[in-house]
Amino acid sequence: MTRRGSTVLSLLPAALIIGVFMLVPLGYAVVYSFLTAGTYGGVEGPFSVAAYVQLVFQRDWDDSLTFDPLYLRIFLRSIGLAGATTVLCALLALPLAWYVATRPKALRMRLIFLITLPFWVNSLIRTYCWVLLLRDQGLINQGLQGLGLTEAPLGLMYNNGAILLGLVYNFLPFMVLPVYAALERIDPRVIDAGFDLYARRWQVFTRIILPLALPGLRGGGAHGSGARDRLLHHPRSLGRRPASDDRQPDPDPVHQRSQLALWCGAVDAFDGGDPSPALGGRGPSGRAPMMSQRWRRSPGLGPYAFVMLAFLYAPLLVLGVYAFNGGTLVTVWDGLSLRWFRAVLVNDDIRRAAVNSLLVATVATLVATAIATLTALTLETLSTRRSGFMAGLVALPLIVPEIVTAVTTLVFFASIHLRLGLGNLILAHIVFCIPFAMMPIRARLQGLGDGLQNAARDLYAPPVAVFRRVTLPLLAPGIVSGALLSFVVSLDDFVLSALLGDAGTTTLPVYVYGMIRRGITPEVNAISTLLLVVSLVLAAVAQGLNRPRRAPKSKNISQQETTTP
Amino acid sequence: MMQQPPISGEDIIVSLNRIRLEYGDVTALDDVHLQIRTGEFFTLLGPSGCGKTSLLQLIGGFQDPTYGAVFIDGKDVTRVPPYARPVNTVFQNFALFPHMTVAGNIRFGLEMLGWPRAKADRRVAEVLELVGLAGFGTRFPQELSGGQQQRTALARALGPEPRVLLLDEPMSALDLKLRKEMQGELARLHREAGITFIMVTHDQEEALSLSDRIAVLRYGKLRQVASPEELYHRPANSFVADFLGEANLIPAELLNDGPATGVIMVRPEAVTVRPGAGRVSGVVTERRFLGRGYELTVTHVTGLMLHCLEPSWEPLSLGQVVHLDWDDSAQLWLEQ
Repeated sequence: MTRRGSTVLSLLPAALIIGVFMLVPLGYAVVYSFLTAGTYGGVEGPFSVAAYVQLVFQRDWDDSLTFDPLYLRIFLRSIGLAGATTVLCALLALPLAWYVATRPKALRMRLIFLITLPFWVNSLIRTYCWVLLLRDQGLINQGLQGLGLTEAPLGLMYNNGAILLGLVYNFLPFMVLPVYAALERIDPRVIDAGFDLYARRWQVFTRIILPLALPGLRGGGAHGSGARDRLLHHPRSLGRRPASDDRQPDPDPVHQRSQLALWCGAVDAFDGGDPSPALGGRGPSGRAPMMSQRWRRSPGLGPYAFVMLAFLYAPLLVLGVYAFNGGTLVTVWDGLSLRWFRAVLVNDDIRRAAVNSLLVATVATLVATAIATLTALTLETLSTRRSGFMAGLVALPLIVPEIVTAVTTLVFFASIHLRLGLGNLILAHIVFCIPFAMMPIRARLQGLGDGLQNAARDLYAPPVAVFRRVTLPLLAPGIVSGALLSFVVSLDDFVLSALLGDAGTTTLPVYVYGMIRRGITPEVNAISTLLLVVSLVLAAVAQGLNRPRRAPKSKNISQQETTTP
Repeated sequence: MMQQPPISGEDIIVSLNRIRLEYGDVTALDDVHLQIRTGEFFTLLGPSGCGKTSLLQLIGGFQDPTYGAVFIDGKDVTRVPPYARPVNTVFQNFALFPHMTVAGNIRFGLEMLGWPRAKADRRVAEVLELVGLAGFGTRFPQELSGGQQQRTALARALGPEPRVLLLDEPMSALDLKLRKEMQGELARLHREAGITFIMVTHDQEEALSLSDRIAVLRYGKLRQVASPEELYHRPANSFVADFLGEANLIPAELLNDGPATGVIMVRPEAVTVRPGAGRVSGVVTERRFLGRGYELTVTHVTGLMLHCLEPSWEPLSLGQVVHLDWDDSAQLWLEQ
């Protein structure tokens, strides 16, 4: 077969599955949006812009249009909250990122790991943790009343403040990581040069550090604007009373996109082959760079970083502790007990949901990882210009808000009468998992270069042997972490599963969401804790795998250095 | 404890008083006492890890000494931050601000000092001219060659008209050819700017050719401070003798005549080969033809290897026993 032919053939699976289940539904949605709603459901011709008009105007019984600010207000509120989230995250992230960037290399890696780890936990559960803290019977109100500071519970939930808190909690690492990556790249001598040229501390900060951190802040801000999507989920749990009749759509965490950013950030941070000396590290010559302890000493930042880590972990810890609560009231402690874990394990509905989740996640992961590996390997052989279209197509599920994907896929499945039960769900999950699986694989491939493969070729290895003996073993950690990543993403998914599922295909997050909606019971704590532990373990393994083995080597160098007088 | 500035008849610009610097339990500098004269080209020379960069950082204000005091222009600046010291640094790898143009980099220090706009602009143009980069002001550092980046770093440090210019291995990022060129350039700038230069290097040739005086450091201690000529011809100890140029260090008991203790130093070019009697004898074990003569390695019976340069008309064969001699004036007694 020709080279060209095999290239096309190996790109086909990804192109087909994403084309059919992503591109076509999107096209459907665009076409549908210009048609008229049918009297008995569905749509009918002719061409009309009524759907768009409806966004801003309401059609009265006499056919006159009156201005209706409902959607507009929702939209503006979303933008406002997203803006506030971005600014708050930036303010909180900058000192934290600076602190991390000025630590010694080994500690830096550990801190970044700690900061990113909680964000692999299902976002539904992370948000639920805050419900435990904020609600009227929650810990904060209990504590305040116990101390006699307040008499009645403060209404901490169901307001913009609560939503903002939830958003900041969710988006902080997406800001910390890119800012950290930008700061880490700064040559410490540049800061010394600033001081040398008569700049004061704040001038060095505003004139040198801030401009150089700006790309990171911008990157973080872009992820922060994804907050708009998340709002669709949060108002439900934190911002809106469960009883209220809301006209809003009912979707969930669209944070996977940002998780990708998180992943890239993490890979960047761990794997950045950038030879420039990090702020806390040593110069390329192995000699300590000139920035002295004088500037690395940042009083107050240590405690600040500790507080931020506590902010990230405390809600999860509270959930974990209360899962072992023996009482029937969620936040009233009544002795240590495994009672609710037992209740979860004997609950048939939960077991069915868990089996569904695992089945969907496993099949989607296997298929998506296989397709992603094939596609990544093929793209690597193409020039950037020629691989551009395909790379864009594969990234499409990340760019399109998940709620849009879910709605359009639902419409598409309905219109072609596709009723495969779990199969529908699996198809949608495969499409969604491919870009996540591909991320670490491509990162690893790019890090490999072709030197080793050329060496193998030079040593008389035919292509198959090069792949089997050199490429695949070196790529394996990337493939495994890609698989783990897509497994976590699939387990975490709520929007697609909620919209595309029907009676028999409830997945665990959908079930948990239903439980929370019906009323918060200790059972929710137990099941959430189980999910939390699974996510944390998988994330720890995935991140650990993708860490380059360069770290111990550099440690040796620094050890040698300190021993030479 | 109050430290008094050193009393000296000479015009001293930088004075280091009994400096001690510790990193944890590592002593980077140990009791360094050093005075640098106004206008001189002073070099800190030593193998890597000897503490020379730490010493420069102390003068620049990037390190606090564990003990001791730093005086610049007669004022105690030990606890004065870098931005308040009348010194500027040319950093290793240049440390140019990547988000500012060449002119922006140079203007930065002037802005920080509060120079009026017009005056700063004039000065920027002036130093760009001085380093031969006129017309490059709008470029960004990434768009420059290594040599141009080096010139920009020099211009940036010279811009605020510091009393002292500190140069931290300024040539280490340049290739050999460019290094030679920039050495000439540095000498010219030193003449034209008329200020004190303090340079750190581990390149002895660079140090010998550029400096008025050199301080040789080892293990955080000053070994000798002297002019290049004196360092070369009258090294104070065997480390300096061996570090600068080639030296034969011969334990006195190996000599045919003379006392039984101590070490003498003699440069290879001062050694002559005699067929008859000499001060020390050995076997020719290596012979390299250099055009102007031979470089011989003569191995003493104890295994000590001696080097000498021998005019070419006297071809010696390997394995031949020879006797080495030199003038009394060429040999130097060294402390151990």
